[in-house]
Amino acid sequence: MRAIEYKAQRPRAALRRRQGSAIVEFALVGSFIFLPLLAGLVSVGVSLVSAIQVANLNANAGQMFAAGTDFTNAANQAILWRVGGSLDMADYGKVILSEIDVAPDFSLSCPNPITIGTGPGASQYVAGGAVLPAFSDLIQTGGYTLASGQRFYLAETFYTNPALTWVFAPATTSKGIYMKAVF
Amino acid sequence: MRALRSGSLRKERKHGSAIILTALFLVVIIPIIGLAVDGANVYLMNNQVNSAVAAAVLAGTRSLSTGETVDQQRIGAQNLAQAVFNADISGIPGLALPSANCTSSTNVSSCFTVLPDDKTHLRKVQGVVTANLPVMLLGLMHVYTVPVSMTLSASRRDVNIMMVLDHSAGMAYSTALSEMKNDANAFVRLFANGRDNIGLVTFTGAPYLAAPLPNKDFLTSSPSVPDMINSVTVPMTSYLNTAAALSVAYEQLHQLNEPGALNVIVLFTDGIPGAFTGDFAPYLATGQTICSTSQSPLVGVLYTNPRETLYGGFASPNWQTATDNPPPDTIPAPGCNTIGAGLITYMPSSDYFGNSTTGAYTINNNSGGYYGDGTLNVSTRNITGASVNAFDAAASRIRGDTSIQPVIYAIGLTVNPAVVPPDPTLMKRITNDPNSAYFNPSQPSGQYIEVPTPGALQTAFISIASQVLKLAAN
Repeated sequence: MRAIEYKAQRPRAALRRRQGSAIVEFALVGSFIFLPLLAGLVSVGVSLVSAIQVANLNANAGQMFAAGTDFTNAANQAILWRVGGSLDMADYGKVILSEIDVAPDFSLSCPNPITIGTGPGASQYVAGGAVLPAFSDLIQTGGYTLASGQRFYLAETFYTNPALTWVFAPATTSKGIYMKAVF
Repeated sequence: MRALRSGSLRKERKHGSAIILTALFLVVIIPIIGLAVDGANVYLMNNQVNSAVAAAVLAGTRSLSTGETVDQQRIGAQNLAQAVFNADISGIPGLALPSANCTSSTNVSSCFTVLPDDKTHLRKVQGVVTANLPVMLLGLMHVYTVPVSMTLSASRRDVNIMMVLDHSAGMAYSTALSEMKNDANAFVRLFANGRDNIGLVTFTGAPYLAAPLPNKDFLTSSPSVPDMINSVTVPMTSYLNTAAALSVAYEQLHQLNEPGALNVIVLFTDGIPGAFTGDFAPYLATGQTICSTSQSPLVGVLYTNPRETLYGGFASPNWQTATDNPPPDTIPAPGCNTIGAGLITYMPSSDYFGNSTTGAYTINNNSGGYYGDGTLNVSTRNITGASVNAFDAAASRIRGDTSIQPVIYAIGLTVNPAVVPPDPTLMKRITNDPNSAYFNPSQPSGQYIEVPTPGALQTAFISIASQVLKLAAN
């Protein structure tokens, strides 16, 4: 009777041991493949969502600025932050709005850009085209010639979230997100 | 033995099952991850391309003012829209820029066109863009691009502007006149010759309609509006019949009657009103005559100087002084005398244009107050009050036109110490400036800009042009 019991119990125990080893194998393989995959996926997801939000914020800021909204007004700045949704723009973001005028000699001037927010980032236009191509080159594609008296509106938005370490290629410089829009 | 070997083989197979499961799992999960990542990336790029088209058509509508002919404006706007579109998508990796408007690159096709509508006085800039957005991970499933297409448009209303320019004696101060002429000219050149209408009224004690509407070829006609502005000189008179000037300007917009267009009056002045045009026939003192033949209506201008030290009048509604430019009417009207003290006893309760001279606006100023709350005796103070009230009533009547909805902008030059400067409270009320205590949200809002020096006039004119063009493009 004991032998019968022993024979009956042995396969179940072996099965349990084998099942346990499969879980261990899966965990070992998973730790090398799934965890990095999951971490990468989360990083890309967070980056993409932030990039989409920054792109929307930047487009709205540029459109409102070109339509005459006074962004030196704190109430209008608050509206802009609300457009940013869940982005913590107040701490990690910056929007730079520039009016770029074409003088009679076709030189460009950008007298008083408006900076909203305290996050890192400097206007790529003011940098003389170090990162952003020279503005006149940017506009004069396809043989278009600037005309005296024209005014352009440039919106630039920076967002640097410490949680984001993934460099999302389409829209980032360094670890932050940078979006520009010419109106 | 067979059973033992068989169990060992099964064990080996079970040992390898986690790897196989993982591989199978990866085969399923990687395309799903690819779909998620590429989907989000395409969504982002689609957003960016959409924003670029929106920015391009808006820039195109703004640019519709640039160029002397309608064709030049159209081609310029289309090319600028394309240039702005290219600038905005230049940061999106994998997208090749079209080389010119209405051409295609390897994966982007864009065409911006201007569609005019003469009935509604609108010009629409339309952008049609198709793009094949590149994807990354879905390439494993032989999906390399995602096609998107979008059509967006923005409109620009035609603009009808009446410029009302003060060239009274106070404008001889410093460089006021030359700056005003230069900056008013620059203002005019910011609008679309061939589509927009720009007319001109100059005024001192009486208005002069220098350029009536319609006047679409304001830059190319002879004389052009800039020519007329350049020909303005400063007469000896310092009386300002601002109510009549505003009324004459409004009549032009009213007669043009284009509700679909943006109708604007731009007033420039350096002082408070001190004259108004009226029918004085009912107010002649007993036994007095002004003209050799009896005239009714006896339309003329009653005036007082800014310091309210004298008053007088002329029996001619187009009264100008001999040094006015353009040439004055005969002074006074043929067969008539000037209106001196005692010739008329009371002032009319409304001016010749129907603007009330009584009590619409009272405010203390350095002359001691504006009056005009009834049929009043002729006096310097009452003439000022009546002139201010007529000015205020004219603006109120103009802003109340719900058909063409004129917008009034005003620039006040305060540089000349010899002239009583424009009253900012009154001017904000006239323009229905949102910063005014009298702001009426049901009427079109304009703006008053006070300018302390002639050198700052340029900024004021450009600021108003910018606002008008923004309104036109909305």
